[in-house]
Amino acid sequence: MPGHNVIANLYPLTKFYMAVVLMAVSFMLPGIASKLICFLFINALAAASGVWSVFIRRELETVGVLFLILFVIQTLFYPDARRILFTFWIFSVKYEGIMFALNLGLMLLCAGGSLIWFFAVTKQKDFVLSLEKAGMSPKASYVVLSTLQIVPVLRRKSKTIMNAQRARGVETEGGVLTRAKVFLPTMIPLVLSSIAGTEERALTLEARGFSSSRTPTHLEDIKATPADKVAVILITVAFVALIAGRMALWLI
Amino acid sequence: MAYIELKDVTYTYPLADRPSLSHVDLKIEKGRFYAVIGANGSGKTTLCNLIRGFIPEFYQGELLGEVIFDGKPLSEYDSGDLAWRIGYIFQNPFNQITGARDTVFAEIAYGLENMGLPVCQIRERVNSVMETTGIADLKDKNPFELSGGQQQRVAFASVLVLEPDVFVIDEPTSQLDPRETKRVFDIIDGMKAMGKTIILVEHKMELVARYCDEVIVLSNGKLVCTGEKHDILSRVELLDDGVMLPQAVLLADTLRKQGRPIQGNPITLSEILPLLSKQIGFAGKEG
Amino acid sequence: MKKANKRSKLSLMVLLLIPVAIAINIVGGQLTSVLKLPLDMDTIGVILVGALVGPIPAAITGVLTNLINGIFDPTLIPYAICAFFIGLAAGLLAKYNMMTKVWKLIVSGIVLGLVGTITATPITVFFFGGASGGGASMIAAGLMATGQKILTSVLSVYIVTESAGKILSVFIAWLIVKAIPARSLIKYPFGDKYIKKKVAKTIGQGPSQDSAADAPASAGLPSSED
Repeated sequence: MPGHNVIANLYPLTKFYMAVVLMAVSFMLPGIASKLICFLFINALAAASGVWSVFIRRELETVGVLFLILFVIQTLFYPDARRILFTFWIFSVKYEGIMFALNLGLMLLCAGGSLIWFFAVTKQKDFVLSLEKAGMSPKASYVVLSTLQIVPVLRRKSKTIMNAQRARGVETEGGVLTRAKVFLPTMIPLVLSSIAGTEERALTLEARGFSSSRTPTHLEDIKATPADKVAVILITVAFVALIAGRMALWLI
Repeated sequence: MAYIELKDVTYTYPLADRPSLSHVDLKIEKGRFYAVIGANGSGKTTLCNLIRGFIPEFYQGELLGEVIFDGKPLSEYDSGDLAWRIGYIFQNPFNQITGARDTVFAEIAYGLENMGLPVCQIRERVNSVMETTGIADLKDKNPFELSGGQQQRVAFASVLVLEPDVFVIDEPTSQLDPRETKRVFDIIDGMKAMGKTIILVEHKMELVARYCDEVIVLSNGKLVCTGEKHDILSRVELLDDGVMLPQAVLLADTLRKQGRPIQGNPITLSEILPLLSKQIGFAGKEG
Repeated sequence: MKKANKRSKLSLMVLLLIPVAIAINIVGGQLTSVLKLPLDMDTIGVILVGALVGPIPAAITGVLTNLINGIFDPTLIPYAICAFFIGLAAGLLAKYNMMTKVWKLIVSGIVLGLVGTITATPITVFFFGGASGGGASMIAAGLMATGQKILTSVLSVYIVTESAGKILSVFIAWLIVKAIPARSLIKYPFGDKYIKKKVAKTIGQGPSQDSAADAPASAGLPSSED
């Protein structure tokens, strides 16, 4: 997470507003070219926020893979295609399919990319705190924050259990059934110990005044700055302009 | 009037067909350190949960009788705010990490945030409590990545920082090694020095004999006896109730049976050794 | 005032079950991919919450799972709709006692499989043009190659994988519920559905009852240090 980057240091909700606007834009942009520009803009945004390498890796691993699969499916199996570019073996490559795939794929790259950018430049706990300050219940923030903490703990435990099974000579490779047999003995003890722990954790929370009716304070507080006001205005102006442009395109 | 008083308390957990505590009358004085002892299943944890108010609020079940705390029935307190008055610590270190925060500092501060304390005061209190519990160097670590002993000290710090008047502590060292046990008892000793009222469940009798003031003995859900520690721990007949006793008491008893009685009621080694060397020429040195 | 308090204590247990359930979903999903199992086992936690608590908390668990997974893979976010309906269905099935006997579990599994198929297919087809990362879309592509339409291909693949996965998930959730001790079960709204009356009687009779009460939740806990 970058330290003194202007964009990264914006208030979480400002960045979230940006991401939501970008998503809305990617849904309404008309053609491949405009979507490509939008995608390049998100890349530039990620670079300016100092997180481009994380951004592009996650984007390619997730939306990129999806793009590839849908490109193959649509190119080869687009229904009722008129222009067939060429044919090999039992497959034929369809022009309409390619166009559809590019349109959909670029839209997904933009929509997914804007979220990936958001979570790459925003600490999860800051986002949760900003939501809490905007009115979300502190109990809901506890659920999200403790989930973010518990997932890695359980993941580590599941690895420990699987390694222990391997050490005892249980096959974790091999046929589907052999591998399936590893699933239960790994999952069940993990789940049971976590569920047994919830009762004591409930008492722990009580002991920390979780059910108190007082208004909590925030140790690591975050506040919106004048820069956020400027950013929100800029984003809104750009968004309105784009909508106006899109409407004009319709009307003409 | 007693600080905490149980009046003819009988409590049965849901689904259980006999009570875990029956007809318990007990008085706890302010600023004293009580050890609760007894065999497994004698109702020690139930007593803790009762005094902390988790019974019946959290556990449900059937409660007869009354618990008075600082002049009014526990049931009349706002249960959400009881955390500021009665601190609660138990044995499993891992389950005492809330999961709400990702650094030790923020974890300890969590209760104070819930209390609504201003941030500058939170920082002050957390810093000072981290010094007294010896975890200042763990400040930025993720509490889930600590050892059990470190987690237990974080749990103590998280409760200590709330500055409650009473501490209910249920077997805090049963999952810890001797070194961490010593550290935890140093912390508890510090609480006693601050004049806090402490109710501690502990199986290690040497520690009970050394640190506490008063002893409460439970057996099968009934209060067997309670009183000053020398008076209670030297009652050898308690062994019949499944209660363990300190080494010094057993030694004195063996000598008594051999016709070589020891004067007084020694309950720790440092108390018995001088008596031994004086009375029967035992060559031991004071520990 | 007192009553409201009591309810909030109960809901605290539910509140704490949700993070655990989300973690079970996520770890279950990852474990299937580590073991390269062809079934989706990423709703065990949702079904568990449905079985113990009810439709709305289960739906919340499902949605939150997809949102949290979506932090790293936003393509999973649209499937939150799916998880929402699976949670709702699981909670309703449990409410009407459809998770208590083996034959009922199979029926529940099939129902959940259908719910999963009906909600996931349109997302995969219209949102993602038939693609949904992983093995299922490869099989779907194979079907399309034999001349099937995209919709029918995705649908037929989902019906098979979803139903098998959900039946197994329901069974695992049920096994977990069965292994939770009665004194913990009663803390959840639907918990008493899974406590046999006989068990409830014998619980108080053994000499171990009190010791169980002495250490309310520490049974079977593995070491906390990794």
